[in-house]
Order: sequence, then C-alpha cells, then structure tokens
Amino acid sequence: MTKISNSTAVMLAVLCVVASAPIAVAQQKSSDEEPLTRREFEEFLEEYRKFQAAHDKLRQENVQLRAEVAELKAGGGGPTPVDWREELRVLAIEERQYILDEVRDELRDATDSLLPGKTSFVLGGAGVVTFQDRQDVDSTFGVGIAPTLLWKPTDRLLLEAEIALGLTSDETFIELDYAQVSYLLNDYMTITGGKFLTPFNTFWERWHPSWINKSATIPLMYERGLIGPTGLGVQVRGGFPLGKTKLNYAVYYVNGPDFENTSFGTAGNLGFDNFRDNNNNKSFGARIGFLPIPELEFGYSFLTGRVGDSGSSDSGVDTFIQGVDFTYAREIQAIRGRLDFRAEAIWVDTDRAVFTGPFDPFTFDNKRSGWFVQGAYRPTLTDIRLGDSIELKNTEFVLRYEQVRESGPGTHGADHDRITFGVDYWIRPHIVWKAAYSHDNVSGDEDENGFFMQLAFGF
Amino acid sequence: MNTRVFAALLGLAVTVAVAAVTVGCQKKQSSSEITIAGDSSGPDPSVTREEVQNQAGALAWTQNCMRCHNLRNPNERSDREWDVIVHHMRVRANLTTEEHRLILRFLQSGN
Repeated sequence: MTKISNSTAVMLAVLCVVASAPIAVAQQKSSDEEPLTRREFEEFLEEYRKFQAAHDKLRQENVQLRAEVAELKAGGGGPTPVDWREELRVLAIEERQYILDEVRDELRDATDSLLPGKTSFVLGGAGVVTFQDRQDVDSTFGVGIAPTLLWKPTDRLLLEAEIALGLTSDETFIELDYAQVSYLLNDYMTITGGKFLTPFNTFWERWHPSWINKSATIPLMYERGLIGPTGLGVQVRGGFPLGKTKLNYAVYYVNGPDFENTSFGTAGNLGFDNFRDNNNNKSFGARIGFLPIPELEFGYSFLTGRVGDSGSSDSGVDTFIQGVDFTYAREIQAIRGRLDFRAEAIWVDTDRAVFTGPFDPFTFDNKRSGWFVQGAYRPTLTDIRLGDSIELKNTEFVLRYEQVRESGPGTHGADHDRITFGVDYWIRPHIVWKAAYSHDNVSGDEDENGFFMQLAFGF
Repeated sequence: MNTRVFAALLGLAVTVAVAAVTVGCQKKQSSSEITIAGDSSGPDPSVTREEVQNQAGALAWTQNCMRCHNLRNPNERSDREWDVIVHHMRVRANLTTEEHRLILRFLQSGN
C-alpha cells in the first residue's frame, strides 16, 4: 500500500473542505428556495392585493388633488373656503370620536384587570309572573324565579347551579333545580357530574326556561311526568363535525327513577326525584342528535334501569324509556318571518308488578306514551306597526297539539289530548308576554279549557 | 342485560363508532374554510382577517344559538361574563371548540 505523506494528506483534507463548501451552500440555497406551500402563496397573494388596492386608491387621490390645485392656481373656482372649513370640522369630529372609542376601550380593559382574582362569576336565570284560569278550578296568580349561578375557576372547569323559588297554595318552596361540575376533556368531549338536566329529548335541557319556551304551558307529557327533568350522576357529552353535518351526543349514568307501588291513583308511575338511590342498580341513558343542516336536528334518546326497591317484591322491576325529537328553526324570506317547528315523543315501558295497598292487589301492562307537535311563526321581516309602540315583528303565534296515553287504574289510565293556541309579544329578546288558550279532552271525563297568561324574563 | 337494552346500546355504539371513524377521516374544520360571499375574482382584498373572523362568528352564533332562543345583545355583558356564559352554552348545546371560540370572539368584539 502506498504510503501517503503528511503534506499530501493535509492537502487532500483542505481540498475536501473546499469542495464541500459549495455543496453546503447549494443545499442552504435550495432550502431557501423551497417552493412555497399553497397556503403561503395565497396569503402572499392576499397581502399583495391589499397593497395594490391601497396603491390604486392613493394614486386616484393624488390625481384628484393635482386637479384641484391646478384649478385653484387657474382661479377656476375650486372648493370655497366654507367647504374646506366644513370638511375640517367633520374630520375633527371623526377624530374626536376615534379618540373617545380608544379611551373607552382602554378604560374597560383597565377596569377588567382591576377585578380581583382570575376566576369569573356570573349570575343569570329566569323569572315569571303567571295567571291561570282553568275550568272548574279557581283562577290564580303565581310567581317564580330561578337564579342561575355560573363560576368558572379555570379555562376548562365550570360550576353551575340553578335554584327555583316559588309559591304553592300556602307556602314558599325552594328547590335545587340542578347543580353540576363540568370539565372540558377535549374539543369534542365534556365530562359532567352532579344533578343535571337529563339529556332526554330537548325540552328539559334546552327550552324549558320560561323566557325560551314559546308557550305559556309545558308539553303535556312532561307535565304528566313521563320523564323527569333531572338526573343525579355523571355524564359525558359533546358534539363534533361530520363533514358538513354535525353530531352531538350525551351518555349518562344516574341514580335513576323509582317506582310508585302503594297508591292506587298513581300505581306504576315513575318518580324522578330519586336523590338517594332506592336500589343498587343505576340507570343508564343516552341521547344522540344529528344535524344535517344547522337549522335542523333529529334526536333519539333512551333511559333504562331498575326501578323497584331493593329487597322488595318489586326488586326486579325494570323500565325502558325511549324518545325521539325533531327541531327545525329558520327565518324564511317567502313567509316574511321565522318558523320554529318542534316535535317530540316518549314511550315508557315498565315491567309488570303486583300493586298492593289499601285495595285489592292488581296488576296491569304498565305502558305510557306521549307526543306533541308545536309550530311557531314570527313575522320578523315585516315593518307593520300597530300604533306607536307595537310592532308586528315582535309578535309570535304558537300552536301545539299533543297526546298522552297511559295504562293503569282509574283516571291514571286515561287518554288525554290537548290543543293550545298562544300569542306572544317579545318586549325584548329575553322578555316576553304570553297568552294562551288550551282545550283538553280527557277520556272518561269532562273536557277542560284553560286560559293562561305569563310575563317571563331571562336575566 | 335484556335484549332490548342490548339492542339500544349496540345501535348507539355503532352509530357513534361510524361517526367517530368518519370524523377521523375528514379534514378538520377551521374558520378559514368558512366561505364569505364575494365576487368571482376572489376574496375582497379590503376585508381584513378580523372581519372574516367576525363574519364566521356571527354565522356560528345565528346557526347554533337561534335554534333554541332569541339572540341577546352582545352589549349586555362584559368580555369576562361572555367567557363564562359561552362556556356554559358550550356544555348545554354541545358546541365544538371551534364554535365556542368563534361565538365568544364575536360576542366580545360586539360589546
């Protein structure tokens, strides 16, 4: 093997370094000259167009100014001194307004930063004053208020509670409507624990507050308790896009309903105020909603669990409740206003049980069902006024038809139909005066009529 | 577990699984994909990014909030209060993070 001298080795090494330099530079140059991504090119194009538009505008102004100056020099009757003073006055006002806006924004930011701590608390809620006059029942006024407390200690954590205060025939009642803690797990999932509005169909969870419910009455199937408003347990919920559509879901695990088995008139009814579970078997439920377009939503819900007391003869009685819901709400030019259409249905299937009490034992096929359809129309695109202060576009017409079918003894097993027509006047988006008239048809009983008025407000 | 419960759970699980797989294969939706009407020559170069965001926020606000209730005036609440309220509505109405962000920004810019 030929020995390589030291000097040759050094020369070779230097040659290698010198030869590699242009390669390194070429690589650096090529990385600088990597083609732009489409996003970067479009951003550059957008900036260039803005620059071009600004440049064109400046050029036009320059041409105009030159023409005006030339006219002045020629004494050809340019803008009169009065016009210039008017323009200066307008500019001064605009500048003052701009400064005031800036000062207002800075003051607001400064004030906000002075608020103690970093947690945030909001008080909201709803209230209502009512009047009702039902056939064969004394007419009466009523009032209720339900403050909602929201506290957000961190970006992902939210604590909320609602308390209902109202009046019964001879006393004030106070109830904990709901109290829950929610944690945002990720973009599409939230975990919640506590007493929460049951995500079964949409009425209780989304539009039961008096200032959101367009009718002065609540749907019959909820009035009759086919399903209760709340559950005590845990849930996971969220929504996510599905292409151009959207899916939302809620899955929950709660104490569940209990079961009335000693009273003849309400035998087989489910009770949803089950704050301490009556058995060791929790109830499981879920709702899934699909929105093919933003204005339209279909939903399916179910809730199932054991309802009999532990250690009792009814300890094996289960219930399975299903529901469907439909919502369509849209402003439609052709009808010069907004249409709000809702429909929901519930089916309750509870296992047979033997009912005993101060009556002969009996049993029956314990099934209940109910449904309603409701349409509301508000002529939001009209300018018709009725007098000085009443605008037709703040008026809303509501019509609801509903049925409840129940099996069981006596009036408990009655078929009940109701039609309700109402007119609302929206004083503000969250303050509404409602009037409604309902006609009830109860099998085996006299027809009932009722007149209702409400002033409802959200705050 | 009885048959009807199993059938309901299976149906729900299959629906959610199909939806989750479909979502996973879709491009993630972002506010920059929301198209604001413009002329055929392309987006209006004088419209700023902030205006585009506000238009997207207004759209999200009307599409989600109006399904249940009338729209409240953004001037009613401060920025901090809207932060809490929109978080509450995100939970109640099952909004996505993107919808939450757009609606909050729109309300805070409008008060």
